[in-house]
Amino acid sequence: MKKSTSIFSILALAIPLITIAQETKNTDKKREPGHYDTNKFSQMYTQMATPNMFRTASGAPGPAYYQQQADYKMNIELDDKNTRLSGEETITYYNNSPDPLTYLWVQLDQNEKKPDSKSPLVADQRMNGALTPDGFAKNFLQEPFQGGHNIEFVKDAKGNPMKYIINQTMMRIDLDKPLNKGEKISFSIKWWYNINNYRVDGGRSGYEHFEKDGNNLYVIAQFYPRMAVYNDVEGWQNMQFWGEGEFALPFGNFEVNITVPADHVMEGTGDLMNRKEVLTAEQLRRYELAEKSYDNPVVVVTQSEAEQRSKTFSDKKKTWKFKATNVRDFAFSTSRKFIYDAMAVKIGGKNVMAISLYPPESNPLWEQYSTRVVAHTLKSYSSYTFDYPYPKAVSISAEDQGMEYPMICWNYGRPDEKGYVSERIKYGMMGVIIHEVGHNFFPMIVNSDERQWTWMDEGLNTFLEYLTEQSWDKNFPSSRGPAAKIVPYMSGDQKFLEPIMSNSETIHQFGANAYAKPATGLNILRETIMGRELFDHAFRTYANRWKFKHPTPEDFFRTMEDASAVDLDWFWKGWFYSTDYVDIGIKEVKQFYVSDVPTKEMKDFAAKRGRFLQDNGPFVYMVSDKSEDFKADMKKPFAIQDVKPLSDYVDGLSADERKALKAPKYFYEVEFDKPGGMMMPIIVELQFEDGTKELHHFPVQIWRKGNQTAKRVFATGKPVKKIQLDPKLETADIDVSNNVWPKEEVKSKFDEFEKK
Amino acid sequence: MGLHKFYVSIFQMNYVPEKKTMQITARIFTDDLEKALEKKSKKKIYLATPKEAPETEELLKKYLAEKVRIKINNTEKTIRFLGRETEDDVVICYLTVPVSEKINTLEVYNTVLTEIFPDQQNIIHTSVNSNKKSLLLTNSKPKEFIEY
Repeated sequence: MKKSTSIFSILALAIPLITIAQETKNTDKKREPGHYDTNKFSQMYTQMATPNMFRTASGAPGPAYYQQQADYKMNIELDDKNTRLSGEETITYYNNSPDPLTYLWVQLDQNEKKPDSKSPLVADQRMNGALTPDGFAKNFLQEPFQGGHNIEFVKDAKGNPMKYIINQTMMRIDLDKPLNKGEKISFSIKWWYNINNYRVDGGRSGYEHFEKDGNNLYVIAQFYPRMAVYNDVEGWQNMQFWGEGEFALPFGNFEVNITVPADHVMEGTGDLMNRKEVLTAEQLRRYELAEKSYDNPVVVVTQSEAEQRSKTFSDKKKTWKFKATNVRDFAFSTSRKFIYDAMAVKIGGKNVMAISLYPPESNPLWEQYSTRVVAHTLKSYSSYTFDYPYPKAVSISAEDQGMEYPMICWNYGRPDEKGYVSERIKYGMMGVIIHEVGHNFFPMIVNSDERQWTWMDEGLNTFLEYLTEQSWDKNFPSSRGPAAKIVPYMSGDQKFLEPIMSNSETIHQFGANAYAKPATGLNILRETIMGRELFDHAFRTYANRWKFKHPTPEDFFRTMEDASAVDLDWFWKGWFYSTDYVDIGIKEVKQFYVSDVPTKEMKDFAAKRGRFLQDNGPFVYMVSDKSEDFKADMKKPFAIQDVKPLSDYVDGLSADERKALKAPKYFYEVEFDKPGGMMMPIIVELQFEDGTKELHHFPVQIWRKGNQTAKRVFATGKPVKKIQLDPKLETADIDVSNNVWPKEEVKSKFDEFEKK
Repeated sequence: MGLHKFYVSIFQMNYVPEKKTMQITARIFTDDLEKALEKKSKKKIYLATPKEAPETEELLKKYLAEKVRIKINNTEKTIRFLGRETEDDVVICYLTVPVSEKINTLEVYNTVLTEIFPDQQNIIHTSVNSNKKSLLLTNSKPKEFIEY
């Protein structure tokens, strides 16, 4: 064995030496300067925060990890006639950090809609050439919407006023003495605001007005002054709410009493504590039925009840009482128009209620799908993360919305006035319900900082949304998830691309950047790089480590590697920290024939090295179809008996050894290149003349030396007719015109259409 | 938050010298486009559904002719509507412009959907004589000029 390896290993070493020698000759006047480590496989020590006692190098919470807690007791009242909401809340804030706090930051998100809000002032504006009278009036004639939180008082536990200052959407409350580690403080805030008609003035919450019957449908959120997050990464997360970057909130327990007109039906975050007081006896009986119905939703408040109530406009009031444990936020929805249906879902041996509230306008559609989709979503997401820990999940029909809160979310999609439901509306509605219910897992429970990192909840959630859509209906037209769907975005002009690791306010194509690209990246990891088993375990580990906690991007990146033994630094750097794109191609294919006649190349080489070939012989020689040694008569399948040194070699083997030999007949050397900067494994499909195929998968580390090209040798039993890279389009390769040998003309989308 | 609030359409414009044609592929979200066409026509059109109103194609042609304009070497060109198809939640429109002369300058005006969504971004990828350039056209910057 020793003998046969010697000269070939010399050759392998010699080729790079020769190249280097030539390069030195050309540039011998000027020495190349040195350089830093730019290898794309180097580890991310400089990009990531140093692990510490709060967050470990494995991506888990460290021994000194802490998080703050904010408990709320609130009394809220809705003035339906004047579309006004008022409330008084007592916040109990626990300082679990090692730091003494001399002030607290409270978020006043409604101030984003204040007449003097700075959000509209940072928008680009220009004169419109033509305006509708409506648009003209809104721009130039009408006073702006009088939104924003009005703070009536901020008082300490003894009822004394506290000092505070409001900076846009953030309120700082100054403390008389520092709040030390392990201490808590209680204080009260009284407030009110005008509720926005979100279909006119925009917003993630507000009301929808139904002209036909004069009713409003309220979807109320970001409605109360909410504690900001204080942690080891940001200190106070008090970046302003400009409208795009969503929320960062600590966990806590809520007791909320909400008073609304007596003919309203409501749902909100948490357990309803006084169902008997707010539902009729018959409705209560139906609800109890729903708690035992696992296959079909039970209608608790019927359409005819909803239509009846929509006419009453009661002057009486009713108070709905909710209690929620360990949630990061509270939201509710209320209207006379609501139909209410519910069913039970068994998750981890526990009953969870899947619930939908919708106006008659949402039928026929919502009664058929909403609650069933909620139930499916809870099961699907639980299987990839942890058992859904909350008692219920509610889907509210709110036109033009798609917004998530703990246990409750707003979703668009209704039939038109004639009751017609297009496929687009149907799948759009189911997709948004899956997405928003799914947000219970990210970020409501795995509580990442949305203000800073949109992708951490939207990206992870869009990934699970894709899996959940596909398991709901294998023909679900999911637009985000499959690798090929991200190509139009990633092949776009670099001017309009930002790395995923960018702040949400600075992104050009939000949907592609913060939703689709991270979701696609995770799908590529799962299907192509890690495999489902390793990926699913690592993803589940991340979800379980950080449920009811505040993770950072590094915690995610580190856990995915730590739990799988798959080095992914190259992937995080390329896919998340840069705008690199994938483009791998076939540069050259050579076919080789086996000969016992020394080739010119080898003779020249031996001469250069001062050796004689007979030193270590005998040899067999590999002759490329592109070399001058190639002769037409070589063009036949390889057979051992045609090459003497090999037939001699085989003759020396025992019968058993001979039987175990493979029988290759054709030899190819394929050179791959990489016009794109994003690393990916090389997936090669060899297609044979008889129509059969063979798949080869070369790990991404084939590029680990910073090499721009890579070569592989294939020995096959059948002649190769075609070589196809990435045949299933699983790597998001942006240019597939170089993915085929022999070269084929790739038809543009336009040409394909023109042909039809 | 749901995705439908992000307003982006993508136009790919490729000059194909052997056909003496500028080929334009426009990808526009179906629901947004439907909203725009319904606002113009003041009736429901059920875009890209089996119930689609028969005059939809005419409306779409007119709409694109009004909202997309190109000048080559400072001369306004007629854009021909070849056809369309739907892919997931996107309508893809195919347009052509005959170009017999060498392209020295290209001006693209695009206000698709900006009348209903002030935040609409129309991204135009151009490829002319192996020269690739992208434009971002918005409400406040509806046209751009490229010199080759």
